[in-house]
Amino acid sequence: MGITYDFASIPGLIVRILNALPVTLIILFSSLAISLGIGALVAAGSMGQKKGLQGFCRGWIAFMRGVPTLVMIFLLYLGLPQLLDPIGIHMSQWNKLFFIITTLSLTASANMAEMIRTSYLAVDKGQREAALSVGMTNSMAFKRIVFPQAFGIAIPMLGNNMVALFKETSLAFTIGILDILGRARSISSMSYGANKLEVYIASAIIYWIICVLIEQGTKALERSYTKGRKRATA
Amino acid sequence: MKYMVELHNIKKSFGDNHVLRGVDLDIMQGEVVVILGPSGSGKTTLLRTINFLDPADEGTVSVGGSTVDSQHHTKGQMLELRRKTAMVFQNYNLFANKTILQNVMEGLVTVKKVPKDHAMEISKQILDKVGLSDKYDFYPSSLSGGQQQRAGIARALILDPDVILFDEPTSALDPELVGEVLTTIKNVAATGITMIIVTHEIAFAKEVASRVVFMEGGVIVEQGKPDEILVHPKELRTRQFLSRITGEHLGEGEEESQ
Repeated sequence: MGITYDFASIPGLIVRILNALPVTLIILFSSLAISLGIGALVAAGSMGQKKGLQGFCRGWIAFMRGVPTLVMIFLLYLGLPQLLDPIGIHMSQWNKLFFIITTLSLTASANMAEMIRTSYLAVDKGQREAALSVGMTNSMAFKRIVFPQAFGIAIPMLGNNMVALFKETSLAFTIGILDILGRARSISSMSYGANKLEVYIASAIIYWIICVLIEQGTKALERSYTKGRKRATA
Repeated sequence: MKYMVELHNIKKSFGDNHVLRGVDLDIMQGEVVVILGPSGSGKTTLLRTINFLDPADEGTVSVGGSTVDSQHHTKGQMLELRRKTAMVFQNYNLFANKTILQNVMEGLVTVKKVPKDHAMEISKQILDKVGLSDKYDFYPSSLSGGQQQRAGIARALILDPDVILFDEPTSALDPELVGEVLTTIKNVAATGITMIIVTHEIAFAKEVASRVVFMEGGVIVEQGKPDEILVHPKELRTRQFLSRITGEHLGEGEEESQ
């Protein structure tokens, strides 16, 4: 075989690929924020008294978990414009980031909703009762007592969800976005695929390091947040 | 004389289970009322209908002159009742995300809008009174059950409520920690505050109560001075309960020595 590997080129490739880091981070943090928002609403609905809303929210979670992210991307990026074109909405000119952020926000919202629901339920109900017994309103009890404890419980799950979401941002390349993976592919094709191995090793290293950073970050957050007390579960 | 707490025709069911079948109870200012009864008799539920943690299905609750209908009430009325009462829980229920001092201050600062400095000062005084002057900055999880419950009592006391509701305050405690909590409750009783205590501690009831109420099957079977109820009960059901409880105590003692 005439192919030679040039592993020494990997650091240089990492730097070149990292040009696309802002794109990946925009996708990550936008879809993180939106999925948390949707997740909070869905979690509240699924625990609420209204039966219809409850069913809708549970259906939402089941659906968003059951559809592969890639299928959802194609559904939104390729399918939805076809549906909306006849009624005068022409999505073909829209920024591609819109589609990937929307897709990831929707699919991740299911996990976020489950995270929020289980964390909320994990707070001993005596905590809320005690808050009410000293005369707090429901919203005071939530803000001062229940939410801070639920948040502490949610941190590890939030870290896991964030890692999963981060890895899924790599699907953005499928619709031609120059995120980390998209950028890696374009670098590789510029050299006609000769340095495929090195390019993808470089990408893998970038993804891996960022995942480690997210994990360490959430651990540090958990430590500082629950300092001096055990996990807020009774 | 004016009543501090008036309960009229309190009824409460959980599904088909009629836990309270019409309870009337009037309590004067400064009275220490101990409610006894077998488990399932509705005594804890009765306590929880007073501050609307479990609103009754029927009946009215009055505390310190505010009368609230269990069936038809506004959020504001419910809040008003809760702000005239305080509760000490079986499982302490100290706020796990707050230190002992913050636990005691919380109601003052958040609900009564007392300035933080002043709230901290009087919270420390109360904690000193219940013997926790060295635990201000500890989180509840690092305290013993007895210490947690004394903090729970401090959290209730500081609100200066019209009545304090004690829901089996020593039931979750290790036997050797019961004494310190009962002593604290006795000290509180001596200050003249109105108290309603649900407990299984007969000896304690005899000592601290100004009135003993015996409940069974969701009604008050008999009530009176501690001696009348605990030493010379008129009702058969009260006598049966008392002999059973004394027997149970012996049973527990045997288990422990094993």
